[in-house]
Amino acid sequence: MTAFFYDLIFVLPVFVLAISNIMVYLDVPENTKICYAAALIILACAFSLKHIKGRLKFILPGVTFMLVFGIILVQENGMRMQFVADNFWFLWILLITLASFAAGLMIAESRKCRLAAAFFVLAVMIYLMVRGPLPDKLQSAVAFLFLVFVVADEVQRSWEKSGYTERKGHIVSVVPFIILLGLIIYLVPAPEKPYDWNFVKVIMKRISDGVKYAGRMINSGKEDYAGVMGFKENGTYFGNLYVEDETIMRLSTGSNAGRVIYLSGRIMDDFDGREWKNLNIQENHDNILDAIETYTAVDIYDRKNNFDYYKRIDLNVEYDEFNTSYYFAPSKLVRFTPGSEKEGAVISGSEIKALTHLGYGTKYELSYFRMNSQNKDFRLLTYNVTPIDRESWDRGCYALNYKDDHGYSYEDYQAHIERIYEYYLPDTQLSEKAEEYLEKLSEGAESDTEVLERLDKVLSGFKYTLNPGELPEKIKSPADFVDYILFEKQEGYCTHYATTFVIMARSMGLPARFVQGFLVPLTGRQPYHVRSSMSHAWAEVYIDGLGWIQYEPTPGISYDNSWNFMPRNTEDGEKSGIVSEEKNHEDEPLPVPELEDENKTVNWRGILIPAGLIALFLLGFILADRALQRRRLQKMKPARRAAVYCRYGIRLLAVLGMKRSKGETLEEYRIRASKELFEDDGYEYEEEEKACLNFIELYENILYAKEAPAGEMLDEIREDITGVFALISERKGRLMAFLAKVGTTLN
Amino acid sequence: MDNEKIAGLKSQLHEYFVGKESVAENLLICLLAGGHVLMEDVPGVGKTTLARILAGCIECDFGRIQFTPDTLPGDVTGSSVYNMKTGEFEYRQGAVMHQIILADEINRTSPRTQASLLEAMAEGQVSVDGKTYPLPRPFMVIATQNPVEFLGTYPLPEAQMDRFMMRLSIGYPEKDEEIRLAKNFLSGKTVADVKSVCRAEEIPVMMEKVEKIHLSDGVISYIRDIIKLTRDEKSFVAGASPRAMLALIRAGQAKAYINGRDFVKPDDVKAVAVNVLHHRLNLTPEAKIRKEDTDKILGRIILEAKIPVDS
Repeated sequence: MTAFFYDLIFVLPVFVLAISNIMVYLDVPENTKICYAAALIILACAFSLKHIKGRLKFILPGVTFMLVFGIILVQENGMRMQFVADNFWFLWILLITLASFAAGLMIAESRKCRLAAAFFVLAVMIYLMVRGPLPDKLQSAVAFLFLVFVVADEVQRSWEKSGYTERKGHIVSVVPFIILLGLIIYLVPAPEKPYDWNFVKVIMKRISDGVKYAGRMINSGKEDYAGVMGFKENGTYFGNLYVEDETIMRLSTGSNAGRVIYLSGRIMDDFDGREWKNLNIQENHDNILDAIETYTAVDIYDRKNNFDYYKRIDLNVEYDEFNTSYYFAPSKLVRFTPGSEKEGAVISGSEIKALTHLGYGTKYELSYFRMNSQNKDFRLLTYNVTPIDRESWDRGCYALNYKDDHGYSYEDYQAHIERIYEYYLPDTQLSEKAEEYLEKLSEGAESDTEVLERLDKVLSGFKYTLNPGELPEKIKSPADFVDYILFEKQEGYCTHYATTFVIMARSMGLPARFVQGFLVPLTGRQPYHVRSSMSHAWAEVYIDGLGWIQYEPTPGISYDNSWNFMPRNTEDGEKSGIVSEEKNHEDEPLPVPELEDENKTVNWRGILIPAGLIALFLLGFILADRALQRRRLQKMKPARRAAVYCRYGIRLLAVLGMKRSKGETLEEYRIRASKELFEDDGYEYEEEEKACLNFIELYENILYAKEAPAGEMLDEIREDITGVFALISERKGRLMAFLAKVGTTLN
Repeated sequence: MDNEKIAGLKSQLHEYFVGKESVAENLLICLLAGGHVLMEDVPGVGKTTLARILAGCIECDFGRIQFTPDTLPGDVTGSSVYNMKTGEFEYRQGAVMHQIILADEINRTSPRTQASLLEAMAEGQVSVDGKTYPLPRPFMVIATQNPVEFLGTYPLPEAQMDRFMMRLSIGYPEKDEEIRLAKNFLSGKTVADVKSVCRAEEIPVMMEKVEKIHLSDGVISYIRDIIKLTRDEKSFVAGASPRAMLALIRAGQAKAYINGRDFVKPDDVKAVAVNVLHHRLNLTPEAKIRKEDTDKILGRIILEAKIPVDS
């Protein structure tokens, strides 16, 4: 038992850390409880194989295997392979569990492994503490526990020298208290940053600030820019990139935010062929106006099903190691609340800038529309945009709670559109070659948006690289740049593709802009960490009457962030649904029960087949076990065989309630048994009946005497055991005797 | 044949000695195991009688040393005396030159005198003036000490306690026994009437047979388990010595022999363990303050030891 718990102490932390970390990367079903349950069962199987003695250790693994096999078998014929493919995660879980079991055993068995693992965990914990992201509480608690176990084990090892040798037993008895400690650490309401060792952090921050400041002194000029982008350019705009990886923001949001969030930071309008600049710096409400426009457009187009087009999402942002004056926010902003009044917020040309410098600890909240623009059905909307009239606009303003006298009036909207055409649609000419290319691309297209989609696809087929080299000197205009990317280089990173896309869209007469910010995949647990390596650039195109629509021309980056449209009822939606249901009830009452019947039979199959397989396994196991026993018994020497029978007899007596207690010798046992079985009830028993306990005396002879004539005793012992059986069926009934015969084994 | 004699011995002891039957049996065990007995009892419960009966049954000569503070070692071992006729020193036997010896109130005499007796018990011989004289066989000392009086006594040191195989205490008899005692007294039954059951020379033969009683490995490890547990017990200053283990083995063999078996069962060990071990173990001062009882602790330990049965 001690050995089992000792292994468990080391296997469990490894298992928890491995499963909780790797599960994030697996394609597991939504109900993760199933995965954890599967992992635990597999772990139990592994432990059963290692720690249960004798043949019984095969039972749990066998039952589990049969269960899995049965579940696969239950699936419909055609679906079986599909089912296996869908549940491929199980194999991964199996692999991880077994690997963590093996690793845990190694740690438990070998002192070197244990120390190595402890130092590794310590190093990782310190690294995460200093550099972030901070691990979640459970993981820190488990890692901490593991370290304490190792320390306790080492201390115990040093005690061993003083002659106290029950090391494993001692650890097992100490562990409940250590676990209690871990639980307290886990459960105590922690401060906001529970494992944030401030003094370490402060020192590290000072040092890194110093380094950053020194760096800034050397590369003076584009101070803010370096902070915004997280990656630094080597002098020119389109040079090679090297990526820094620091956590700079943390996001927390509701459940509907999808797989990814695009956080816009800088929005650029003017491109000279080598560098983007922002000319639209007057203060306005463009961001909000854009959201109202989109809302109103959807309202006009398909009022009933507006949730097919966008979802309103709330988002909380907190800055970490970040040095900027920009607020990063998704486009289609409907609400924005800065964390403090001092920081303030100014919207100009859709960028949101603070009045002061922002950094560690800055918090703000916002709401935005998550657009379904990648959905195919959404495209129909972009084809059929109608201009927004004053009445619809006011309705939109009212719905979104924006009063028109605060810069959200219809006139403001008109000015907004004018500004867009002024800043985002400069006169753009492509080279002839590029024109031809674009023409070819737009052959047979129904609308501009369809051309844009095709362009998006084409660019996504190019090559992505962080090291495209310096931009040649000959490029001096946007047209040169497009030629260079399209026909010459055909590789680059996001900035290259977004720029190309914007220029080409503008050449088609559509206002377009270049956006820099962060592309944040929403994986793992909240809060989501935004790392500087997630910085990204993309394009947005303005569709008159609908608003800015986002495009992702960068190769290799594609997140399907869309959702399906609700099924449409052809005519009057709600009413027809109710009518058809009523019809079902009145005219065709039969199909309903039939359906239920079918369900039931399927369920029965699902239970019966695995249960049957398990029963089959158990039956086979018992039969094989019996056969093996018989053979082994026949090979034994007579004395051992006689001893086996005697033990069997004692187990049978236990069925009668006569269990040999601790510290009771066989003689005492025999006297007690004979007294309780034959004397206490005041009934006179025949000597023959009483004689069935004699085998205990014979057993004493076998155990303690020098040479017991075991061969001769064997028959006598068997006779006594038959007598015990007779006694059982007399006292406890035949059923009990039968069960005793089946349930007890000869060994 | 042996069985008859053992049964005879038992019945004689029972007939003439009034008191616990187990005491008589344990005395017999010590005799056959070649050990000595320490009787710790209040005066007048029949210690001397028991010793005399035993001596009478096996036709041994009986000696008695009444220890007092001024008893000298020479009184025990004997001394050289000048013979005027021959003009030489002659060895005159001491009180110890008997087969069954009752050493009464051994804790009343000086440690030196105690030591002389205990040395004789251990060596089986006495040395006087450079000459050694073997003691008769069988040789058995039944020492008594008085538990009530402490004043003017020299308690036996632990090392010497270890030389006694068992410490027995007779205690006051039960009601029926005491009535039987009165009747025996009235009918004039005395120790002198004890019938001999066997001759003294047969006892060493029996002792040899005892030594050959079989112990299985399981029983040996059971004994060792008990000894180990006394060493782990926190209430004892020190655990039982290896000599204690050997004594326990021999006592177990003798017990099996008396029961007419040629192998030792755990029951035999269990039956003698407390009497063999309790005088060798000392309670710690804390345990004494807690009023713990050595016999009770031993009883618990014996139940804790793993009986050699696999089930």
